[in-house]
Amino acid sequence: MKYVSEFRDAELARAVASEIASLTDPDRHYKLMEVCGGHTHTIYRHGIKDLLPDQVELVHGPGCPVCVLPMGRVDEGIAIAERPEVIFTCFGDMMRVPGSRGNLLEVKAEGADIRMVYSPLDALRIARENPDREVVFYAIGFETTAPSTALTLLRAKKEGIENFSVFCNHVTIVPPVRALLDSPDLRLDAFIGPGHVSTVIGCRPYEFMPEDYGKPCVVAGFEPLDLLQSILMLMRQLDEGRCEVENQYGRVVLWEGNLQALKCMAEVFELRPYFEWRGLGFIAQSALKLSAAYADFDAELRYSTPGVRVADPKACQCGEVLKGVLKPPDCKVFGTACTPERPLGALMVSSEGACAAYYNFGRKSFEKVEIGSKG
Amino acid sequence: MMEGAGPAGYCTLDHDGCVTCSDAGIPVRVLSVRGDDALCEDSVGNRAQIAVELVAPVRSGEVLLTHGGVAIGKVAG
Repeated sequence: MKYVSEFRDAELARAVASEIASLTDPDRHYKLMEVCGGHTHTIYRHGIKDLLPDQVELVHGPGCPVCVLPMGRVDEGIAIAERPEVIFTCFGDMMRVPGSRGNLLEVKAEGADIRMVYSPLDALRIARENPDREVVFYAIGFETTAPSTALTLLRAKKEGIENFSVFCNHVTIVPPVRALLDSPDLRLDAFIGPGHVSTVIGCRPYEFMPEDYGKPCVVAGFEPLDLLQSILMLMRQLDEGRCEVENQYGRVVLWEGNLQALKCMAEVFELRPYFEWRGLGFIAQSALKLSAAYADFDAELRYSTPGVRVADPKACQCGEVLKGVLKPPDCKVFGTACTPERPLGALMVSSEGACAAYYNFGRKSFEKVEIGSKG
Repeated sequence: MMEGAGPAGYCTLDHDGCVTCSDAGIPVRVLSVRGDDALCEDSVGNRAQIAVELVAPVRSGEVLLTHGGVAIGKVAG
């Protein structure tokens, strides 16, 4: 099956990079934000940055759901997981996210029944197989992941499975991007839009970027050539003075999105009035909770979670990195007190976190030299 | 830059990347459909049952984008 190898052709990549260079004004500095953590991962895994002119800077955005989760929500998940009647299920990425009293992996080692799943449907299967236990799924992710949680709840309700609930931490992509655009700290020229979120929500939600803020956006796929072509499309817009939403990932993303998935989400979820984001603070209507029709499956109600707020460790500068104000190696504890083996901040936990991407692909020394040389 | 990258890289059903992040969108081909689930195969031959309600109707041979065991889109040929 194709769809992957042809988007990793080195010769084609060099040709696109050369075209990007030809459109680059040597006297201008370009700041392009890749919103999605998956793009950050691709950029460092495949050395995309090495192919770009020095004037083109890629700024990492807030699109890693594990990274933006505030510590209080981790603590609340751990409190549910510690209940003796509970089988707590979550994606593997969540296991090492630090709360104020440790992480889920440590709690599991102390005896809590915590199980890693690949899909929320696996959590539902565990509930089916263990009718005498309460199974809780730690739901997290943007609009790419929310449909799988919604579909699982539709099936749970249809099957009448009562020992299953969801601790919902799903977030939405547009409000934090708008918050970043309103931030005085950051001056961006254009955005690389999240391809798989857009598979669900389509391209229309990004129209506020050119219309309200005068910033171009190109929805991009996740292979190296996808990223390079998207950067080229943005550079063309900037060069020609155009400002619009374009779709580079047309082989997957429809302009109107996946209407069946959106309908399913609308039935199961409703917007929270506000939600706390690590580094960005409270953002209105930026997260999902279960709708009234699915309240019986809401772990927050079932276990009366108190909604605690916990401040990040003082040394941790994840917030500044999330906003693109600091590069990962500029953080005081990057690579010293905070490493992928012993993460202090969430950005070092997930493989898509900006700090982990820098660290894992050997960028730290290179980036320090490079940033220093830019003055 | 891309020397050494396999034909499928981490875009396979057994990859251990970040499921919560959007990058884990895996293209798979439908082998057979049974009710709301389909048996699918990725680019290196891994197979899994995938929920397909959100992209129905689905036919054998179609390529789907899956995330967390659920198909969220179809990949154009």
